[in-house]
Amino acid sequence: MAPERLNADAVYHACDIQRFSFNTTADIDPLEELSEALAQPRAVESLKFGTGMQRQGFNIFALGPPGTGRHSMVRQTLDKKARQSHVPSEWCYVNNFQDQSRPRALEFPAGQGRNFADDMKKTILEARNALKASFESEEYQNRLQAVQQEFKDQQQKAFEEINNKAKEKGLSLVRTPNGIAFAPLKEDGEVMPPDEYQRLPEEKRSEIEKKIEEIQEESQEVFKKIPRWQKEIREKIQELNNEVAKYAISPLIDELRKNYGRNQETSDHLDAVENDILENLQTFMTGGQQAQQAGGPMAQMQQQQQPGFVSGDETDMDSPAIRRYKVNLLVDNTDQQGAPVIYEDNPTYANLVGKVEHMSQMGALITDFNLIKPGSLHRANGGSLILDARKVLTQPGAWEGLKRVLKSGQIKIESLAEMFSLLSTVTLEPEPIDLDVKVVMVGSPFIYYMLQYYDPEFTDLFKVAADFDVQMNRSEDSQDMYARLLRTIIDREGIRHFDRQAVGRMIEHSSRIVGDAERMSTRIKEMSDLMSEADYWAAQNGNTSVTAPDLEKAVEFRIYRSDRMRQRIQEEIERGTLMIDTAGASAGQINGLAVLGLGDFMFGRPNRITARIQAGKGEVIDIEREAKLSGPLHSKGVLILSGFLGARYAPDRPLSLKASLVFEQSYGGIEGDSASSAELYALISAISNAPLKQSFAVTGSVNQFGQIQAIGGVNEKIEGFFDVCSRKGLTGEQGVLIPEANVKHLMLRRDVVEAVDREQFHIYPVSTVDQGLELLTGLPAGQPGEDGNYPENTVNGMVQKKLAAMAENMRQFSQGSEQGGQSES
Amino acid sequence: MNPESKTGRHLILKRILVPLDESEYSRAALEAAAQLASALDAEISGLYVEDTDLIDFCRFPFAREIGIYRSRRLDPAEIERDFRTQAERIRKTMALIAKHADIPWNFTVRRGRVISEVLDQTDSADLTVIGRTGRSLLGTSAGSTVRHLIEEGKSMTLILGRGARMVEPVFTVYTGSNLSARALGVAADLARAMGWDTEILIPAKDDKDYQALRDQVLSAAEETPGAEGIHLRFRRIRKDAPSGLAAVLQPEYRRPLVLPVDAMDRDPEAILDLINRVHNPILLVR
Repeated sequence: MAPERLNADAVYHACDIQRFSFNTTADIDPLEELSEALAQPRAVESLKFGTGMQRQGFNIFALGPPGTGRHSMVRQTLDKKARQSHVPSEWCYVNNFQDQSRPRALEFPAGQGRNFADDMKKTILEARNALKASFESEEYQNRLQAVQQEFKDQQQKAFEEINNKAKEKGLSLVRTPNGIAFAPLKEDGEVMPPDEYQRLPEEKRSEIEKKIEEIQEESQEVFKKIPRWQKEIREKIQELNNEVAKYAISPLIDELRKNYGRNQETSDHLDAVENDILENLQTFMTGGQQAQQAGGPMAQMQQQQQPGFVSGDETDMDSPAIRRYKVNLLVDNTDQQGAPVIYEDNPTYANLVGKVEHMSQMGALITDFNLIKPGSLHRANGGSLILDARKVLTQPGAWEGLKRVLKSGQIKIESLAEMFSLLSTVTLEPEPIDLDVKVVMVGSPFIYYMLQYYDPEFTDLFKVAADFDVQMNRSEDSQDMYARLLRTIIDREGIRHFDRQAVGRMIEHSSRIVGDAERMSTRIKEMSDLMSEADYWAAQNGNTSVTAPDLEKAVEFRIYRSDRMRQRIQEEIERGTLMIDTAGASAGQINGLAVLGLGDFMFGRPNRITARIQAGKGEVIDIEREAKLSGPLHSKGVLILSGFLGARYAPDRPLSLKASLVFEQSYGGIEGDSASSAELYALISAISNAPLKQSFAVTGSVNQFGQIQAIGGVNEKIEGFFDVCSRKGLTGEQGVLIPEANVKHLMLRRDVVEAVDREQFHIYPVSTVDQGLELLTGLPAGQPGEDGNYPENTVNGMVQKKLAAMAENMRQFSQGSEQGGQSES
Repeated sequence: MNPESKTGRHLILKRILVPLDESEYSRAALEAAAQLASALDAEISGLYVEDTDLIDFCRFPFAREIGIYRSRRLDPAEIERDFRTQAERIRKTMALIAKHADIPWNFTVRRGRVISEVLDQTDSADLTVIGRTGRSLLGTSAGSTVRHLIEEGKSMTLILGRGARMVEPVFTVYTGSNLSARALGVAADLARAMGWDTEILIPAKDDKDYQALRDQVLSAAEETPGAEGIHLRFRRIRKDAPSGLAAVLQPEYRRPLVLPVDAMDRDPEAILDLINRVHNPILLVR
């Protein structure tokens, strides 16, 4: 029995605005949380689970199409959790005095890191002043003098001995530029002039020379002892310096120990700072400027015995000698409330894991722990980090770096350039920092499933998927909530309030967006844009609030901006260039419906589908497939037809048919099986020679039992055929056959709904092929009798009869061929 | 200040002579001279003497130098080279110190016997600043050049002990003699130029004697223009110079002493004794 046409109420599920208690959105409250309205329980519960689960690898991947409020909901969920969490530790990098290429990391409770850095700076400056005062004190100078005097006394005693011995031998000690020499004395005690010496008898000269040789040897022995004495004196001075310096700086360092030394690592670092200052007193006090050395070796030796400190700029914390004691506060949580929630907008490798910068000095690139810069992982440590999956994946090294960090549970700063050997300079290997972070990657389902398929580490690291849907159920309660969602968007965008009609229209349009009258779109971005456009038209129309016509205008204008191609197709159909009949009847010819997508704009267009048959071996040839113009789903739909035909009309004999099917005037690819019912009608018509009404267009897929199945884009398809009929003139006969399962998806355009209401255009819900055949041919489809045969004068009967005749012809043809062949052999 | 000459300055320095070698005392002398020159707008003149005695010494067949790092035959040509190298190093040190103190300077190299060359130059200088001992290996006692300067020098001579920057106050000894009054004037000028206090050491046998000398100084100060800003301190010391002076000076080795030589009865040995006992810079006023 042929189905009833749908009335106007069935093709457009209007929002019942009478039940709204407000006049405009100004009368209702905005939402506190988007998740209230978006009704994404799966995603919300997953987020809550993921944020609450503190085990390693339970990071979250929020997957869903863009514009579905993923970011907002992730942010809200994380913020809520963060408010209940404690402020995490702070991390500093400090110098490693044993190995400067491996800076040490120190952890402090929130707020203490900054204090430690400040206190350390003050201590260093105070230490320099304290040391300066100590080394300038009379006490130190006296002790230094005493130590130096000891050396001088030692030296003096040795040379006095030599001097005395020389005198005993009648010789005098003479000071030379780099040591001493000996000369003979006259009887009056003066040095004998060389000329006088030469006049001495040979024997006397030999005697003097022998004595001089002896004393020279003795002197040599004394001189040999001097380096050892010098070493001893240096050690004593060093000991004295250390004692004085320790006395000066220990109280300062002790103060730091008292405040920060509870942590063993910090205590060890303070010990190292104290020892390093003591070991490098000269550099520490001069700020790295070397005292000018002057004079010869003796003078230099004498200078070495004194500290000889030249005071550097006391405020210059950047001098090389002082930088080493600074504290590089990597993360400052002093003003942080709760745990941090960080969104990294530009997740490059360096922005994620931090980097070691360099500075140019004398043409060379140098670095130290002060140039370690934190990444967003450092800032998010103890809290959460939100990342865009696509951005992470498109930044070189970022994804691998992120995985490595999450896997190890530590942030280890390594330079990408160094990793790829692009940079050849001094760099650092900072001590890794323990990481406790919840990473939430936001991305499309495509990226999620690709990662899951291709990256074995992905599932270990992102164990929680928060799946965001693009649609939500449309019920009376959810419509109320949706109105509040609109209010939230209005507040956020700063646009005019919507009146009651406009809210209703927005809900209806939201259903249209998802192509389902029982659901609404959750694509907040798209809705937000449309609302802003409606606000623009409201302004143009001088309205204080957005009305339904403003919104209509926005929707229409949005379509108008994108529908040039649709317009051209409609015109060409009207002009007969694209052949579509909307009246009359033809055998083997039917109007199929296709949907074309241009970016975010979709529209339907009718396509003529034709079928031709001849005797054959049961093949249904899909010309689109033969020409490689169809996708696999379309081919599948056509292959199903063979199954249906064979099973229904020739269950006990061969299907002696060769049929060809084609989408006429289709020059692009075709995909999907939504035209399979239309193809079947065309085929049956071609076999039975029963003409099909061209005032109808058909959509719906078919299975092997002849049941009509739901398809997508039903609204666009109906509107596509309606537009063609409108242009050619509505006759009151025209309409579209749609799968019955698609009725709930109907949210048709206003003009279509009006035409349906005026019975100028018809929508028929069809659930079986037979229903469709009856509508299209005006003939009964026919039911099989007990013998399995269909009655004559029914479509099915005509098909069965034709196929039987073709089978018989084929049998006879085959026998004739075989006999002919035999006689010839 | 000067009971005899109540007007004018006593410490007018235009040229300060600094005989130099490579000893630490020599460097200390240079730094002290720079400190004074900077305060008193004077010029420092460095003097390096190429010792001809040493060149003569090379003519001995056994002339051999024994040093810390090596022993070598003394060769006149090599000694000449050593002289030039040393002179250049000293000149550079002097340039550095003078630049740091922002004072005019010159440096002269002369050839001859060290003592006679230095004495010859002191006549044209307002002040000679010299390290207590030169490159002697025989201890820190005053060297032969200092000894000759004390004995034969005519102008003011500042003898430097340990190489530390001078600090206030300036000490001087007031005995009531004209020379001690002049020394008091020099000390006051020095103190004024440096912004220091002056401490007057008065050797006195009893309080009455001490008070009398103290009153002399105070009344002179009242009559001296420009003396108001100078802060005077007094201390009574024993009369047994140099021991009495040494007892005061030894703990305060960075304070300079302006010493009228008659306080030591113009006895060079007594002056040398004091110099050898203390490390303070001692400015001899003759």
